[in-house]
Amino acid sequence: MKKILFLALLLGLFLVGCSGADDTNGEVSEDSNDINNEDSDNEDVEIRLLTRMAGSSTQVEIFNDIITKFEEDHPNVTVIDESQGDESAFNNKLKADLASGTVANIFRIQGVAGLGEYIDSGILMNMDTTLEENSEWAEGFTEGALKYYQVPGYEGTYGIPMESGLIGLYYNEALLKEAGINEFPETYSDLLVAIDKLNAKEITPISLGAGSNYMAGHLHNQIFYKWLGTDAAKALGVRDKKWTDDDVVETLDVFQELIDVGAFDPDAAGLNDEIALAEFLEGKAAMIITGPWNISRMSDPEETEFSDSYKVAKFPYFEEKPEFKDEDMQVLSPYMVNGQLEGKEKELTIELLKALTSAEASKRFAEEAQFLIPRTDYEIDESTVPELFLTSMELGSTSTGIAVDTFDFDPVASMQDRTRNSIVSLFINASPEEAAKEIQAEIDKSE
Amino acid sequence: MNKKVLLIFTIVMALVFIGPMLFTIISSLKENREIFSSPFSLPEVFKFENYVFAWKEANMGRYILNSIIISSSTVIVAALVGSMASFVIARFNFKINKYLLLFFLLGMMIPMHSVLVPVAYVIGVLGLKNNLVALVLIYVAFLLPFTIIVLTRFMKSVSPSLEEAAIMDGASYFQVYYKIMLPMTVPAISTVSIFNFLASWNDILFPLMFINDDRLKPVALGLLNFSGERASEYGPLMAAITIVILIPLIVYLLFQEKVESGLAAGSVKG
Repeated sequence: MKKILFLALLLGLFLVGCSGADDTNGEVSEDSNDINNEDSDNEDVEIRLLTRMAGSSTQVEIFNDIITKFEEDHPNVTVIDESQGDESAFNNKLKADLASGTVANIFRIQGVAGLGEYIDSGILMNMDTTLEENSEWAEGFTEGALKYYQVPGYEGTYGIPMESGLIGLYYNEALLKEAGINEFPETYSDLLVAIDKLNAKEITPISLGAGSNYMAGHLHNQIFYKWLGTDAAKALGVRDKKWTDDDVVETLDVFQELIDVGAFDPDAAGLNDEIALAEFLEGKAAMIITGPWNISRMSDPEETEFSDSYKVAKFPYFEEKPEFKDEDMQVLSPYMVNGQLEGKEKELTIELLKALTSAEASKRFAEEAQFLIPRTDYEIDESTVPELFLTSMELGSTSTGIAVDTFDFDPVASMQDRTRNSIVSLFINASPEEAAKEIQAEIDKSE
Repeated sequence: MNKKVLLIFTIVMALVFIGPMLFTIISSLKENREIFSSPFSLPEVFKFENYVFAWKEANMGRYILNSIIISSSTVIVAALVGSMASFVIARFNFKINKYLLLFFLLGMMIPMHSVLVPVAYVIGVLGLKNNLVALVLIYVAFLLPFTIIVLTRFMKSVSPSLEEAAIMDGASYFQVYYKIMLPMTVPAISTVSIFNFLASWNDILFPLMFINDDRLKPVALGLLNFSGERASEYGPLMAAITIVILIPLIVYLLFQEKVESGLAAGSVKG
């Protein structure tokens, strides 16, 4: 028993010794500050990042390279990257940070309408002054992307766009031709004909894994914007429209129709995004709705034997709604800056933000990772990127209206899960009316 | 007939439990694409590199050491504090004795997620991020109710004659606890320690919230290194999971006998 007590004591001492990594750093910094006669320029600064840039993809490697270079250029700066690729891990961490008042220097909140409370509490920095002071960097961003982060009811810009791109309908041209479809369907009616032809050849028309509910959400976004336009999503957010309105339910009717005509794998409800992509890359499915981030896999002959057959197009428009032909879903993700930063810490955080979103970084992200930062002040060496990426960029530039997810404009935070889950419920025999009521009920409950 | 039913039931249950582990091990030797295109087949080519990648990329050596420190400390502190509290509740008659036990029982009913925000707030205010002692104390707080319930139950089943004899020989209360009750409670302590070890080893939520320093991260957090926003490295992730589950499996096998005897002994008397 004495041994156990001794062991416990030893462990306690060990823990105390190794627990406070920050304390140790603190001692070192105190010493070094003495040496530097408390020179404020050499003041130790810690910059915390909480983004979704995690994992081992090429864009994450570039992101890490920029951070490493920044640390080399600023020996007094330590960048602590707490970024999480996993969505629930990211959300948990962000929630806890917001609740405990320990928000990272650079972080990310998805959506726009819900930012008001964070602006009120001073958590989000208004970037207008920074944009004015750094005009060369600021003018490089596309106007629409910066405007997206101007929150209704508030003065200023509250996010810096770090990723954009068209969510398109990628297709396998060889499979379409095999089914007798020589031209990609431009309208929704053409799409229904194409689906019939593909089903006749026993090829899954559209690969979708509803187990990853964002895939169903993205498809509905496409239908929604082509049927009602992107402004209708904003109207839902400000409560000028309801999910139970006839024209909104019609968008869910279209989704239901696609299920009924066999547009998806019969087991789509149980598949996830990785399986859906695998089916597309293996030539089992003819189309998939996704963004530019999968282009590198589609273009890699080692990943798929169809690398030369992949093309991208916009989701077909409705003949009765030609005015919304170019109303598109595009991905748009931001970096946000902690509004409570001051002095040297603020200055260095802005400098890192600029490094991560500069023209030079944008060029590298685009050429090496097909990751698009919405800037206009850099030239891509077209020989270094797949044709598919260039087409996607070109299509994206023709959008007359841009929106991310419909819930991005909704101030109710739970709408992301609510809308996506209710749309997925269409796969398991819920009717469009029921799904619409369920979504609307979430809004009514919050009010 | 009964034996046959039992055999079939045992086989089905074994498949239910072994199936996911087998799937993980097989997937750990596949390429990312193959995991999703043919999830249940054997690998076309065995990719042992996944293990090398997992070890290097997830910094597994460091994370495993951190996990061992965190879990072992949690086990020891919870066992010490829990056994002392249980001794008092089981052996002393005072007014709030029963309510005290009820208080700890209520503690078992509070899910971790429901107190996440207040705990995060306290940790933030006290500046206890990146502090392993704080993390261990949080675990101990959450695991104490279970520990105390099991140990109290066990201690109540131990005959008081030995303690009475010791007291008549002049032993103090601490000596009774330390020299008589503690050794006799070892099977029950082993049982709760296994549960406590697994709970702190497998937890990801609290380290995710409170540990940012890469040097202090436990292994469960290291597994997130493979998850990207839009693509994950599932082969190496499965390899890392295989490595991670080996350690608790070894701990369980080492203490299996004591755990089982502890569970049985604790259930004899209330």
